[in-house]
Amino acid sequence: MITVNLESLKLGMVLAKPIKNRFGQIMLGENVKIEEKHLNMFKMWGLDEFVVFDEKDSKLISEDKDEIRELANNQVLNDIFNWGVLNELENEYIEFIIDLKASFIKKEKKNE
Amino acid sequence: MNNVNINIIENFPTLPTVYTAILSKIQDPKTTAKDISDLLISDQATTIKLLSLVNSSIFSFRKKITTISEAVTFLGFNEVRDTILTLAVMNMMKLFRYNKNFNVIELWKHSIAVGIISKIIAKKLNLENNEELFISGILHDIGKLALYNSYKNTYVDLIKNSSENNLSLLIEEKKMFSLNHSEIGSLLAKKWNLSKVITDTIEYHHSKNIEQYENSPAIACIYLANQIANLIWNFNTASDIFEKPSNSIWEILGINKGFFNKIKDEILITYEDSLNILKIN
Repeated sequence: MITVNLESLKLGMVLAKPIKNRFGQIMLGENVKIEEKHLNMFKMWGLDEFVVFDEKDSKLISEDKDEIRELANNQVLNDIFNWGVLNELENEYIEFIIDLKASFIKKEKKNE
Repeated sequence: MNNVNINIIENFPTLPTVYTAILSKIQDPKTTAKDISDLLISDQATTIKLLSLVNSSIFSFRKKITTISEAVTFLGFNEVRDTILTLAVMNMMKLFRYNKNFNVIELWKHSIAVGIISKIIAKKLNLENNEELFISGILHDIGKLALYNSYKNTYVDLIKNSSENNLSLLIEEKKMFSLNHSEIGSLLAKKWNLSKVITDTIEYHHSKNIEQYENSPAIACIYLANQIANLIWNFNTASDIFEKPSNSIWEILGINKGFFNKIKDEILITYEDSLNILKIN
């Protein structure tokens, strides 16, 4: 993984570490693929440091897993938008929910 | 309770005779396991469903249970009673499955999700009354079904309106019907002579300051399971749904770091299994 600033952050790069705001609250979880809307958000939030996977790591990430996890992640973040600062246990709680949500979405896709 | 509220309760489908018969048998101290089995065997549909439920991942007994008398021995009287009640509630939900405007399937899935998540949490934390938390979860939103049963589209519109405009469902219900779904549900549970743990969890599953109540661990467990289920499946988007659990919830339950990783897989497996066994379509 490599650390990049906002200028060198490119669409399609995948976060290797979650993005936190200055209160330590997770704004975007790891494994999220960077899209246009994220770049705008980061500008708005004044963020300038991102840890992303580089080519060496890319084999670790399966395409399918990314998309579904990102979907789950974004939905949950949308729902908990105004929760404020999260402590360690709360972070774990949110990760647990995102994980389960992603697993259930995957199961549903398989059943389709 | 005013007349309107009495009607909501009186209009609601009644519990099946097999349930009420079991209830009165259990209250009699002379009743034996054989009495309970004999009573159950007379209702074959219930017997078959009871056995498949007992052998599912919800109970996760190591041994396969093949007869009703074994089931009664393994479960004990109270859990047999609650399991029959679970099946009865599923049959009630079935009555609403052709009502186009009210998504009973959604409520059914949500009730099962809250039932199994609270059962899993309670078992892992070894909470007192943990055997009553599955049925408490199944019943926690029964007041919504009662409100729909009495008010039909008026209630459907209220749910839609509060979710679209980000209003509190509880406050809107209270404005329109003078009681919210938690209060209606607990009145129904009282009418059915359910235990104080069950009526309390139904009544207070949206409450703030849960620590003030006698059965606070059970209430906190249903509260948390409801929050988890809503976040995972987005069952309802009315504004009082997605709350950050307060620190007192973690404290009442004794949840520490590492807890959630321990229950993840079990929820994943049990939920689907339960939907298959408790099918209503």
